[in-house]
Amino acid sequence: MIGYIVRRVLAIIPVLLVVGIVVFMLIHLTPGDPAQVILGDAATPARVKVLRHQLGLDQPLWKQFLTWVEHVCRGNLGTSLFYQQSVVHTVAVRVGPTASLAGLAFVFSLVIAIPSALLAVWKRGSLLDPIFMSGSLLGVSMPNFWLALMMISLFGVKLGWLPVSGYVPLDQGVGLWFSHLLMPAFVLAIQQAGLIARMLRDGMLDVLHQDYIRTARAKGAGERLVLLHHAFRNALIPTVTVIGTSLAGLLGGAVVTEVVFAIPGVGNLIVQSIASRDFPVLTGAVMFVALVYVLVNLLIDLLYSVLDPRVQYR
Amino acid sequence: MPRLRRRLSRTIMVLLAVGSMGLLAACGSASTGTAQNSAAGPPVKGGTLKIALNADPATLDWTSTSAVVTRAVSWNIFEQLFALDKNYVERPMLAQSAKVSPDKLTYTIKLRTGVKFQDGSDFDSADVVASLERWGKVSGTGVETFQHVKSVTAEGPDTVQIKLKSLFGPLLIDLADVRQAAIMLPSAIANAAGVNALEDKQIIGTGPYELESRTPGSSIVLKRFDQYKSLTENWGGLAGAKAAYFDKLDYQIVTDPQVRINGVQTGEYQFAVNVPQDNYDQVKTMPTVQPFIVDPYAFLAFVFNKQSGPFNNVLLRQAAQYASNPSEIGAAAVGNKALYSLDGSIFFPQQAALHTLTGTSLYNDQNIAKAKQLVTQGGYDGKPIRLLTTKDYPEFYNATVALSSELEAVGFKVDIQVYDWPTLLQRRDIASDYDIFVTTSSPSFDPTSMLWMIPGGWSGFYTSPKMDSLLAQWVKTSDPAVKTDLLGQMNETVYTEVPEIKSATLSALYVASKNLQGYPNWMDTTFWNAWMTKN
Repeated sequence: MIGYIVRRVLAIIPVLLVVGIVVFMLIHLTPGDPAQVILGDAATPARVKVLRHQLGLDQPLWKQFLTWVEHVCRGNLGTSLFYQQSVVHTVAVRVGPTASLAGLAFVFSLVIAIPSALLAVWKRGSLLDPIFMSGSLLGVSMPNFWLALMMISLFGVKLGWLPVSGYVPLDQGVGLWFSHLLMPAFVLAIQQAGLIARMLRDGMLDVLHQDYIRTARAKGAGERLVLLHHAFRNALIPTVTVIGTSLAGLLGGAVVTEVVFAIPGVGNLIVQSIASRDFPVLTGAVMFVALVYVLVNLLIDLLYSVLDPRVQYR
Repeated sequence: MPRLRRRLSRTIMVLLAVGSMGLLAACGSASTGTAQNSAAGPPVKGGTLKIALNADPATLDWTSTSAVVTRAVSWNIFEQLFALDKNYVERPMLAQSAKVSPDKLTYTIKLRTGVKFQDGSDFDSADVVASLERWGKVSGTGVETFQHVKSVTAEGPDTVQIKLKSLFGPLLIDLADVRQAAIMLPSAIANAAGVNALEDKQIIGTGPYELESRTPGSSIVLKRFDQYKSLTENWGGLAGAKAAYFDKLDYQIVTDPQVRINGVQTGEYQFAVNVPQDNYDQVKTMPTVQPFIVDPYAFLAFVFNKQSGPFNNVLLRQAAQYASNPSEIGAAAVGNKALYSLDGSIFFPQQAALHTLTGTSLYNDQNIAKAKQLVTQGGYDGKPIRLLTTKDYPEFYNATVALSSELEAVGFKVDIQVYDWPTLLQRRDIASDYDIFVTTSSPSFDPTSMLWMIPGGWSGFYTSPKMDSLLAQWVKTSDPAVKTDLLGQMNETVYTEVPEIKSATLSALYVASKNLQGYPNWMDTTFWNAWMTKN
């Protein structure tokens, strides 16, 4: 088991390097000059040329690439062209808001998804089942930005219950932190909850046709015990994959939601760094997202063995 | 993307109105009434003004970038020797006076005394010398100005002398220019920064507010500089008396325009910049919000590639000018008549000392027959005109579509190429990549700093012996009558050589809480002399 984990962790290094190389190449092939963006519309070509030289952007691409690889190998992801701060610092300060939002959205999505899936399976065949199916389909297919703007209109502007945008760190008060994150977290949770609930419901319905369920019922087990103890746990394995992917997506930065609610997270940073052609930050932020995906996938794989003892890693 | 969101917002408003969804049932109908500022009363000191900015400045160094978002924050922190008043005329700010020698080659500038920097050090002539030398290397205007400067020397602690190599009349107005401004820094910081942009810890000025904190991508907080030494004259603009009534100015980065409006509506912010112009009618009906129309803001312009392609030929540029209708383009760009206007002068009407309509008869002179004739006469080969535009600024795209149909009406074929703004900025400097690009020009304060008009000075590859000659005469004269005549000739040259099609003048739309008082609404945002009433 430990050997497996070590091998998987070591495998992260080439994955990140490949991701970094691909992103580096793609964004450097994209037109747009960071020096021009930094200096503004009224900058003279001469001044742009000077700044390009200062930033090293006038070097041949292969030279810029080798410099970048050399720095990355030393654990240095470079300096933001826009903010003149280290990329690691620039990305790191955005992780807090994103993690807060992702964590809350994740909790909301599970709180919504698990009870509603259990209810749908328990009341299968009744009117609740098609209501659940439609509701979860709506959750999955509703565009984030649309729901966000609807909620801002209702709860922020009309009712004035919640702030329409912004982020307050946890150390400035739990109430403020929560009130600023409630709407964006709910917006994100609705979509994830729809997906998770459908997976869980389908998984449980499959399990309910298995022989061991019939056996449990024959032995006199009640519906509650059958659903919660036997069906739920066995349906979790495929669901955990979806849950993990959704968590990785949330931690990687919910781009649209962060932009609409003006949350200074990783997703927002990615958008800003594309707009300002801040190549080092964009590369660093995407590598961070890749790291999150890889780690969450590792965690999911390890969870399989916890949920199903037949799964063993060597 | 912003356009998509705005369209979406309109959709939401329609949905709200018809009450087609249960979710919206509680929303009720929109409030009515016109936003009017109530009687101000005496200024109230205290409180934090929260401002929703549309973008995050790369730097707060007002010398190193011409980005509007930088200066909108930084001119609370920094000051210049001379500053523009509300009529766009230079006034002494950190300077006390300027004496010009009879040969007009030596400027002796007396400095104000007792002025302190926000790090506690005294402002003196050594700071001026170091700051101006840095400005002469870093700023586009500074580099241009320093071509005429022989030396900048300290003549005692409160006097500076600038000696010129040759006559250069615009010296003082250039020192007051707001684009890549000649800000005054402590000499140690100016020398340490050199040509690099100032770091946040080097953001030390003499202005009424100082930098408290900056969180990239999130917020910039300024606090009142208690040792600020204000003038008493009421000149307006960036000059004269500045009273910092707010304890803090808290700039929040909010990129979504609809969220900026919502934030002011709900009281989360008290001010929001750059609200889409087509929200004007909606904003006017909000009971807690007052709209501010920023005029002058900028004029729309379609800049020709004059180095290669069809518009290397002046006849085809004239044809395009005759084809265009600034009124139609203004309407397409921003919709509401209150937010665009027509004026042919290269300077804005508010710039009384520079504005003249002499030589502008070809402005707003759409003549389809003449345009068609010039298309033929100019030997247009039928190859599609590559018209660069962007949807990052919806008014740019809307204006481009309007111009495109006007060009097609006189026989041009047009290929509209849409890029994001950074790509457009890059492509417009590559002659082989385009024929026309769209942009806006914000106010300049002297013909010599009007980049688009200076041969070789900017994108578009303009060369003009005539404009060169006019600008050379301009810098050597101080006679008002000669200057007015030269301005008329410059107008005429712009409309005959057509380096660009000067189109409609656009206003920007800012919104604020109705409790904001004393806001001057001059150029971009200035918040000294403004305060909030409680309710």
